[in-house]
Amino acid sequence: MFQLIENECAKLRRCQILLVGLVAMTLCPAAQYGAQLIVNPEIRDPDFDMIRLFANVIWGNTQVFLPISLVMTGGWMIDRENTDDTMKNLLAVPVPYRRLLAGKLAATALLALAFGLYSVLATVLTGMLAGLPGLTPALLFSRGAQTVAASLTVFLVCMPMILIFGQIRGAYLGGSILTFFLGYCILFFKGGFLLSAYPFSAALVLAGFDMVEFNGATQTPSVPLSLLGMAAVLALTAAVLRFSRPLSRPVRGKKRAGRHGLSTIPPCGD
Amino acid sequence: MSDIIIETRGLTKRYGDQVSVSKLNLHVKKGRIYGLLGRNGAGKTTTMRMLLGLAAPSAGTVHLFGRPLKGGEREILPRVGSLIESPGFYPNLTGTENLKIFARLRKLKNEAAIKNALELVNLPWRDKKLYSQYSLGMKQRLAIALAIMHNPELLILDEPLNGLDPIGIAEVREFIRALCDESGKTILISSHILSEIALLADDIGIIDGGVLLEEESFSELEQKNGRYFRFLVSNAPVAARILSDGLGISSAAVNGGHELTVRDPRLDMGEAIRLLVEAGLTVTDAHLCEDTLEDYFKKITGGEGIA
Repeated sequence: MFQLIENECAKLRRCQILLVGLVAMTLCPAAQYGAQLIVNPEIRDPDFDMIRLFANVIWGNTQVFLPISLVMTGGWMIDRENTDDTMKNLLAVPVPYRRLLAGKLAATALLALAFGLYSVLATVLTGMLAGLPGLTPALLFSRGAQTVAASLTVFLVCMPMILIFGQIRGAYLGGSILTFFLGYCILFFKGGFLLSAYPFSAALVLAGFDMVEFNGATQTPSVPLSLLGMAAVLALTAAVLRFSRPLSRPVRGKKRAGRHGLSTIPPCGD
Repeated sequence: MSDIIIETRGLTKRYGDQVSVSKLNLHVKKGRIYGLLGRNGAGKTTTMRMLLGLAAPSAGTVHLFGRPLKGGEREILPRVGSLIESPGFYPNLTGTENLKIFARLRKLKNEAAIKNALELVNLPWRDKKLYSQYSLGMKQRLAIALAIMHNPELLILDEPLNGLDPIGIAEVREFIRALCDESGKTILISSHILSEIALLADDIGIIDGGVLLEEESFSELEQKNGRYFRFLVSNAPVAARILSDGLGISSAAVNGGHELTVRDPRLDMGEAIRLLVEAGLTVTDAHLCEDTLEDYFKKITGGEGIA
């Protein structure tokens, strides 16, 4: 497995798709702070500080930026093996298909970790540039850890989408948009069962995010229900992984045989 | 261990109602080059994909190194190198980086294996050029390097000479021949180019419409094809009678008024010319001819052979 993860990281070299995550993580704190500047002064938060910025970034990452980035990148990592026609080389080694997928998920988890850490850096820099008060080592540690933890829990929620849409040729983009929509839906769950069990809400709850203070939740979420929601996602991931099969038909349209059927003439007139 | 490295029994592949490969019984002997010859769409690639476990057979079995492939992939496939269809690599990486990916999966610790493989196919080691910038020939060479990098006992190469320039074709052909002759590797190579198979293969399998029509060694094929004599004379029917009366050759075939072919190996050409000239006939041409692989392919497939 270590080789698979190492390989997945090596394969990402010079890949521009990583910019999706990096730009998203950069944009999130800027957008959250910018939103404070453009709203009417009457509803502007006069106490907007580093604590608020971190909370907004965690919320924004979970709702929009991480679902898009992780499903797009993780799905593309699976899709490219068919697009680049490298799957046959991997399977002929042989690398078991499900193991390969598991390796890709693990590599995406590392990306989620990296995005989380980068998000902390981007948030701190944005806060400092904006001159927001309240940046202390204790806050940096606690909210930084929460940001990274939320990245990882959001990754767990995204796993089935990465697997499903990565294995449908060219569908990872559509999958990331659908995941964005699913992430956006946490806005609607302020109470009841879904406040805790809806997977994206569960990702926030399990990361220690205060849903009452920062999400306007009408009740304190239940951690056991959140664990149940996350367990359902993990079970779905395991089921998708269990029933995943490589494409049975070869990639077409790349073969470079002669124009016709048989030929007695070598391709370059040897 | 058996002398047969690849053996398929009733190997069949169906895609819906379409039968791509039908009841294929293939036998590839150790230390030989087996040429799988067929038109595009004949079932060569599908067969090779099944030999590598990339496609599941609808029926039949694949045995490699005397063991069934199904269930034994982990032990068997590391002994096989392959190039199936077009080369497939990561476009954002260099050739060396691409090979490193697969070397890591094959647990090849020594970078010399990658370096040697690249040198053998005349590609530079640690070149900065990305795979996406490679020419078709360079891509094909890299795919061959990947196939041989781990020093496999068996090579399954699907049209490996595609995309190479004339010099490259000659080089790779010699290289493949040397892999068999000097390193004792068993090689299954497919092609739709008759001349390449004729120059490379020890054994030949002809596949058409998913069916293996013929399987034999090249020497057997040469014997079977035999040779024939072709004369251009002033009067072919008279010449046929002279050869029959004078030399006891009754198999002379008259083609038109001037062409005569004799498929009897006992014929002494010098004696035949002497008899014809003495009888007052003019002999403008006399040749010992051999059937080409193309002729044989046409005969076996019952088709035109060359599109």
